[in-house]
Amino acid sequence: MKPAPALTTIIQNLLGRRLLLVGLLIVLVIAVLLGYFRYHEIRSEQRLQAASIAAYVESHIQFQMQTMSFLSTVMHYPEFEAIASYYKRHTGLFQRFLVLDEAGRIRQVIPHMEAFRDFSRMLPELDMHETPGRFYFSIPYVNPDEHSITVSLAYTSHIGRILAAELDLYALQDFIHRLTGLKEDDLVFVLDRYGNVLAHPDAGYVATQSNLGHLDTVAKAVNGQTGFLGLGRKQGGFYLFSAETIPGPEWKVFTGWSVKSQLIPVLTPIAFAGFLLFIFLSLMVWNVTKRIRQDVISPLSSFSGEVRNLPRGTFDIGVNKYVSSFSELQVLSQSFQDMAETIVRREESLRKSEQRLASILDSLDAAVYVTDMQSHELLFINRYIRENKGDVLGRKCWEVFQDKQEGPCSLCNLNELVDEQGGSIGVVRREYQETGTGTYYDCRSMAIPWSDGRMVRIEISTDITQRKTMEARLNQANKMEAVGTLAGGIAHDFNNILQVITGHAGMLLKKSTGNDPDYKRVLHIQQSADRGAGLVRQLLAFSREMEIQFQPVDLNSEAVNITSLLRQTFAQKHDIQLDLDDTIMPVAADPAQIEQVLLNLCNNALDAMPEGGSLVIRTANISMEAPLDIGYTQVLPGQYALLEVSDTGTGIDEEIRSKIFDPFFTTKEIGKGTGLGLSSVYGIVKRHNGYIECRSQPGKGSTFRIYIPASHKSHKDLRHEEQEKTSGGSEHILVVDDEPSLRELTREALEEAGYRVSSVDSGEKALELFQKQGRDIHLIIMDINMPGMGGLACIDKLLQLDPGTKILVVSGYSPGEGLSKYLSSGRAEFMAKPYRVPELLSRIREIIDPGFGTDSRL
Amino acid sequence: MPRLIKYMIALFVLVCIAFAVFFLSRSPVAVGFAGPLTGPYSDLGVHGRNGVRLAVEEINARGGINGRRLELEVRDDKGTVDGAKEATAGLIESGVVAVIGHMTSQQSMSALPVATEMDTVLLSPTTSTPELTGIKDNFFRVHPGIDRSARALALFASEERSKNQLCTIIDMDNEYYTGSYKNHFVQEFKSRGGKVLYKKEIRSSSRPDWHYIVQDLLKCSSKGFFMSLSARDTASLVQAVQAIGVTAELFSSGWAMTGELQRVGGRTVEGMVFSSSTFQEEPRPAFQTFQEHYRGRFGEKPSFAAAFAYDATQVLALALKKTGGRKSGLKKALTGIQDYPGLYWPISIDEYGDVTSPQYIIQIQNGKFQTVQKLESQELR
Repeated sequence: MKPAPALTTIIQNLLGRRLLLVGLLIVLVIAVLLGYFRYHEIRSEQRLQAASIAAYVESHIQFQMQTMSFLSTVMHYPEFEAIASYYKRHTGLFQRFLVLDEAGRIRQVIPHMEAFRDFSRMLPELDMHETPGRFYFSIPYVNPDEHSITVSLAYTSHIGRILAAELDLYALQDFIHRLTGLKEDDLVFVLDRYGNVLAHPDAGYVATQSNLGHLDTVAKAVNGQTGFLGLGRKQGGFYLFSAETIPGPEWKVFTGWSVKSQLIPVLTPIAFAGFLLFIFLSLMVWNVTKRIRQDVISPLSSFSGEVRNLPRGTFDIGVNKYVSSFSELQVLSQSFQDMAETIVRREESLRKSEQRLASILDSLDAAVYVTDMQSHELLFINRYIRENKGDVLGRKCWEVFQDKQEGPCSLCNLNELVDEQGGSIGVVRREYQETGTGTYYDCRSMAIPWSDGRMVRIEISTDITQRKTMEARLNQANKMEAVGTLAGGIAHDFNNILQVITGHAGMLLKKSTGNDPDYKRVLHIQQSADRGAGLVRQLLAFSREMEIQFQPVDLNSEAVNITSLLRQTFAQKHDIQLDLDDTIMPVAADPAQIEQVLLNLCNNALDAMPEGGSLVIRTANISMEAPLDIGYTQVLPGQYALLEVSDTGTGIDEEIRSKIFDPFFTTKEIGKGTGLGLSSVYGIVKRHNGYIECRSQPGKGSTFRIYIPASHKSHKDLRHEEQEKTSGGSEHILVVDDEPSLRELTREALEEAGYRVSSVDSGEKALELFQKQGRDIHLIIMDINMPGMGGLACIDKLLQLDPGTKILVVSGYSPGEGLSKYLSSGRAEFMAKPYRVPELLSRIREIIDPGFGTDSRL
Repeated sequence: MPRLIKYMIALFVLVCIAFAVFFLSRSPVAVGFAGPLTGPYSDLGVHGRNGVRLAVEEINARGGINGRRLELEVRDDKGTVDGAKEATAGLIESGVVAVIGHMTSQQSMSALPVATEMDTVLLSPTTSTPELTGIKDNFFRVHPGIDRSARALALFASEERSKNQLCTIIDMDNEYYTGSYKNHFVQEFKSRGGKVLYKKEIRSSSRPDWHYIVQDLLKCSSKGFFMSLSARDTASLVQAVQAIGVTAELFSSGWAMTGELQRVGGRTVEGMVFSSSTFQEEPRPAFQTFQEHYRGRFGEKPSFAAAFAYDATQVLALALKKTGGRKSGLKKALTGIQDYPGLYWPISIDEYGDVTSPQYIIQIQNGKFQTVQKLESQELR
């Protein structure tokens, strides 16, 4: 862009040129006008001058003529000479008087002229001189005596004589000169009617008998034109001429004013005025320029200077700066101010928007990045990536995210992101694992248009390692749950069956002695039934259907018990050690279940060492500060009692290790193992709010570590042996159970113990009975799972009838929510099936006699 | 845009050149006139100038020199040798292409070297000295040499007037003319048996006292006078002669044959005899026209000086037309003039710049110049 001239220059040029032109024009016009008017003035003035001179000369000549006329009358007098001399002297215009006869012979010459007799040829050949009373003027000629140029005036008198007078032309010239106060350059000359010069400021013209008839203006005058004759050239100069006729001699008086000398008085003021005008215009231009510079250009310049700062963000277009400037600039600067402020605001909001965006992206707990689809260069990374990988912007994505890879990921799915036209298809999702860290990511990628128009790949990768783990665990849990539910259902029925067997067998055993040959058989039956019950319990334990009866348990004593048992069975081949912490904290646990756990683990350990080996049971206090990862889950921080069983057996490899706690999973041959051992251990541990960890290396042995939350009860409190309370009573007990055999069994057991027993088979009947004999009934033993009213509703009704009613709910299942309400509020008690009779009796006593036994509720 | 401006400038320059050429070609042709406008011979100068002036005006009225205006520059040679040189030099310096002048042999002889040096043509209307006859130079004239004239007069005087004794008086200021004239006259006169009783030489410039001079000439009072003086001097002398009562036959060179003689001399010059190549009486129509125009223009009758000057100007104009108004080639152009119808007779200029003419014996009768005898050129040996 061609640089435009500065405003000052433009204005100066504009003003200068235009004004100057205008000024020049004005001056010119004035000059022309002045010239024109002067010209007209000159015309009239000059005419007047010519006329006045002519008039003067004419009057003078007239006077001479009159004089001559008078003289002619005295020509014949002798005194004439004296008179003539006198006149000659005093008029000064005549050189010589001549008295001639008719023929032209000289009679008298005043002053005397020698040697001249005949003057006749001096006179013209016209007849004029013959007419008396007439004057005749000759053309200039050389005076023969004086050698000067003269003109003669001849007058014919009445007496026939002619009086001739020769005019002194120089005197005439003098006379005219005195008449006029002529400027040096101006001319006044007198010509005769032929143009012969009679008087001229330059005497040479007269002396050389010049004729000026060749000059145009003179020719005009000779031809009769008088007045202002116009411009003529003479002696190289330009003159304005006017002419007037002197009628008598028909001479022409010319006045010529040199154009130069006429122009100068006209031009001088014009030049002066022009000069003044020029000065004035210059001043004006200068002043205007100055003012404009002050009021317009300076503010504009500083304004534009400020505006230049606009992109830099540093500007101050305070309107106050331009107070003396013009309104348009003020408006402009105000607009700029507004614009600047808007820009600032927009920049601010843009920045905030960017910030927000950045914050959002950075806040994501996921890796967000954008790569070029051809070069795989990272165009954008969020804070997650920055913190994990550093400032990797610009590097290739596969270099950054993959370990030891030499090219783009083989499963890079760029072609899935764009369609044929190059447009984005949408979000494509996949999971992949980072080879370096093993972390699982859920990747969602999509093709998006970038700011420069190309399509780029944006990927949001979320770390799903935990989720995956969770998923695995959930799957596991669901699996367990499913199995558990299945197992629970079967177990319940089994329990009932077993209960009957065990009960009857027990009664049989009670009745008979050891001598009875059937005693052994019945014992076998009970033992088998017990074992069956044990299995069911395990199953139920796994499915967590059993109610845990929390008591403070000393792990060390449990370990000791188990060890003595095991030593009895396996002492020969295996080395069984104990490593117990004396300060082991008590745990809230079910002792039987702890026993079960230990049994299962030790059995497995010993099975794993068929040739012998070492089995160690260890206890310790563990204070967990941070979560401990044990593979499938984490151990939460807290105080734990550790129970560890380790062997030096065959070990468990990783693949199997993940399944060991699955129900019915066994590595043993069919028939050798139920596959329920570890799963029941798992269930029990879980129910105890504990964790079980298996560490094993094939060939090296295995270690099972169980973390059970510690209880805060002093261990001394826990050292107690559970005494089976064999006790009886004589109170009235109501038994409610829909299962006839169970009902009968229970009635028998209770009656044997001395109680009075009523039994009904439904809730309704129970209520009926209670309404009749309520005050008499001390305890109601109820199976919760009954058809019809159901246990729960019955309880509810019973409690409504008599809030102080003691109810013992028995069930093969864990207490449900509805029952738990009553249990936790102490309105009812619970006992799990299967139970032993002594257990039952003990419990009854506990309930009927408050304060009996130690408080097992924790 | 610059291209357009270039074209405009070129066009402007071309136009300027065209105008310049046009105006240059239109620029006037300046010719000069040098003659005695003051002094004793002023009648020749004044008439000569007026004759040239009239011719110039007429030429311009007819379109000038090929459309260019003829302009006249006038200088007074004051009738002196130095004056002649100054006048000629001044004219040539002022840029005239040719000088018409001078009117007397003396002045022409003085001025010719100047003209020659400045390579300008000197065309004299009235110079008749034989000194310049037959020379290829810058000098041209339309007036024949006076030798024949002088001899014709001598012949007339002795034969017709039966004079055998004369007194001579000449003006030495114009020696080239007067001396030459007188010598030829005397030679012829003597060859016819005449005798010169008294030779008088005066100088017009020294303002001769005619009264005194006449005393010297008394011895020829009954015989005759041969005068070769200016018209005024001739008249003055005759007036003085008559004033003392002397009557004599008067023979004069053509120099004095002007109206001035009549004016100054009045009746005293009645009967004077001249020999002249000028032709006063048979008025050619052209001459009459010239006479009328001159009279109307200047107020008096033209003298031979005017007529010759007029002719000289016309001849020069003709030559200038051939040269396109330029100096160069003018000499050749002038020599090419053949049978130009002059006011007196056809003018042909020979290779030397001279003309030939018949001779006339003129006498003043009743105040008029009358032809008494005409001699063709071949008649004079």
